[in-house]
Amino acid sequence: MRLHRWRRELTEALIPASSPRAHPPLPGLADLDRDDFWTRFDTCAPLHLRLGMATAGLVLSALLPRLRGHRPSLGGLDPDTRDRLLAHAESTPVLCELVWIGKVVACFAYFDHPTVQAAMRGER
Amino acid sequence: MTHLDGRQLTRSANHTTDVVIVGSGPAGASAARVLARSGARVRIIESGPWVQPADSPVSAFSAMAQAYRAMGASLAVGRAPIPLVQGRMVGGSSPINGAICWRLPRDIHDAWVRDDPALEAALPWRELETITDAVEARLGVAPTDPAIAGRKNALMARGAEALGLEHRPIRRNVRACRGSGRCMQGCPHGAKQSADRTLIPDALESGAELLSSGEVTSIERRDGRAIGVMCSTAGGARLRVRARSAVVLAASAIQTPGLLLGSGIRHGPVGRNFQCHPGVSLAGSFEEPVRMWEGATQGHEVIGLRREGLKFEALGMGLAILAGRLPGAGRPFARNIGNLAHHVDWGAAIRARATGRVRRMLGRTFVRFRPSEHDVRLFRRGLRVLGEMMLAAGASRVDLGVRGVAEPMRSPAELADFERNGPRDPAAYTVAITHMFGTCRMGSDPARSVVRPDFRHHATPGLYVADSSVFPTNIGVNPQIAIMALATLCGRRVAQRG
Repeated sequence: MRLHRWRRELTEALIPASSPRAHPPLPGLADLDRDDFWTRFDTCAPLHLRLGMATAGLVLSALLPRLRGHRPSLGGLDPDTRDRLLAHAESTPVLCELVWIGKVVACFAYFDHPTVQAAMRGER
Repeated sequence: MTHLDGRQLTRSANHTTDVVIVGSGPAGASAARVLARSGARVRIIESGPWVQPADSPVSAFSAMAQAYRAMGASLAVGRAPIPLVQGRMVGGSSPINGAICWRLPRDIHDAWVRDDPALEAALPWRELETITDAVEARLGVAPTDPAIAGRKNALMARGAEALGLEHRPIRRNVRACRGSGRCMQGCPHGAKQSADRTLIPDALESGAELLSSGEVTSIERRDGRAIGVMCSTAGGARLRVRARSAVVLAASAIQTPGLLLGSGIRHGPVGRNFQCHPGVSLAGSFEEPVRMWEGATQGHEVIGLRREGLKFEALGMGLAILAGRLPGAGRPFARNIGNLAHHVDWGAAIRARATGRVRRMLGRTFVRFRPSEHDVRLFRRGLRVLGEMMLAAGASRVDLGVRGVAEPMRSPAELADFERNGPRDPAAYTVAITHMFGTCRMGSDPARSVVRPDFRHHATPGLYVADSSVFPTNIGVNPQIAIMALATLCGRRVAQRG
């Protein structure tokens, strides 16, 4: 389903892998298997949060790149262009609300993964 | 001990008991404990599951999916949607709160009595004090042990000291706390002495019965008198529970008026006078790692501005919640996540003057609430003081999380300018509501109140309200102990009337 693809593209663009020099080195959301998270999200999250996330995915992954002159959706863009688009959205009224929803859900997905939890424990 | 798990109840049935209590949080558990000990047959009905410490997850998402109402994302609507954070499990919100304990402040009690002198005899201060002493002893309430407080709490003490603000270790209901920083996900070690670990087991040992994962859908009446409730279990059963003596509502200041309105019991200002403590928070960055997820989740508070309507607390949310409020998107955001150990989040709880309303429409409960101009002024003041404390404690910068204020602040002068000239629109602020009051307020005037000073509903015999809905106002401090004290009093009144 496209809406599901777009919300994944958005969350993966929001949390890419950290630089290999970073301590602790952290994976990007795209590096983690999050099928189980999205299944639970669709079961547990209230309707307005699911709708908000679907809207964020549609607008920021599919429509915004087109409106800014790019053919591929967010996931198909190079990292620099992706970050520029997201920074633009984050500083634009209304779009910033969608970025915020995307970040909240992306963080839920990210920190719910045992690999990330273990990396953070290592940092302790 | 009798505990029925509604997820396994699939066959509809009728039950009869003396007292039905709707809700198992601090209010329901306290009333149940008193009533069961008085010899009454008590049935507690809780809409959420009974979560054991071993099942408390590390992840904020899993915890919120398991134990928070609507995953912590039910909303009050107004100028902007504001999340209402409530637990939905045995123990109510007490298993997932910060374990902060405050006695009902004397000045609040005095104000209630000034407004309605009938409350002086109904809520005698000395009896409330005695009850509170006993509740605190049962729950092991004590100041946070510095040995497990962790760095974030020590930093708050340092910041408050530098500004000359009164501060103290938070008094918490824990025993043998290890400082694992997971209060908000449910303590994995069972150290928090929440209602599910203390008052509910006490009630069950005295003969009360608990049904978990059972949602009360309506209050049944005959000839105007409350005679029981209808309930649906998660397993699909429909239960009719008859109460010979009383129906006690203790489902929270949102669900209790929702249930009354949904049952056609609309007497008085039910659902009106919704009051709360909206909270704002501020993130700061320190050169040295603080590791906010370590130590007592909420171990230190600044109380010097309480009478202005401001109280400050160190926070300790799950990593996902903390990270979600960091600035940036894409690689800058990932860099900030990589530096998460250097970030600290502190919060200000506001004693809001605005009132809202709980309504029932299309079978659902809605909350309307819009912070007033005065409340927004307190948001700004609270963020300024938090920022000044954090800078004084050694932060290199603070992020306010306010829309329209993109740049981090690095000096008290910038923060003072923000207090003077920051946004007036409540929608600019990231706010969450955790304490709610007043929607079935107590009083002697049936036109201005929903329950009498002895917790009886003004118009429906056999019906009582025990939770923070009955508080005439918000109280400016964390309410679980005050709720327990008043609900204990409610239980006594029900027992006295038989």
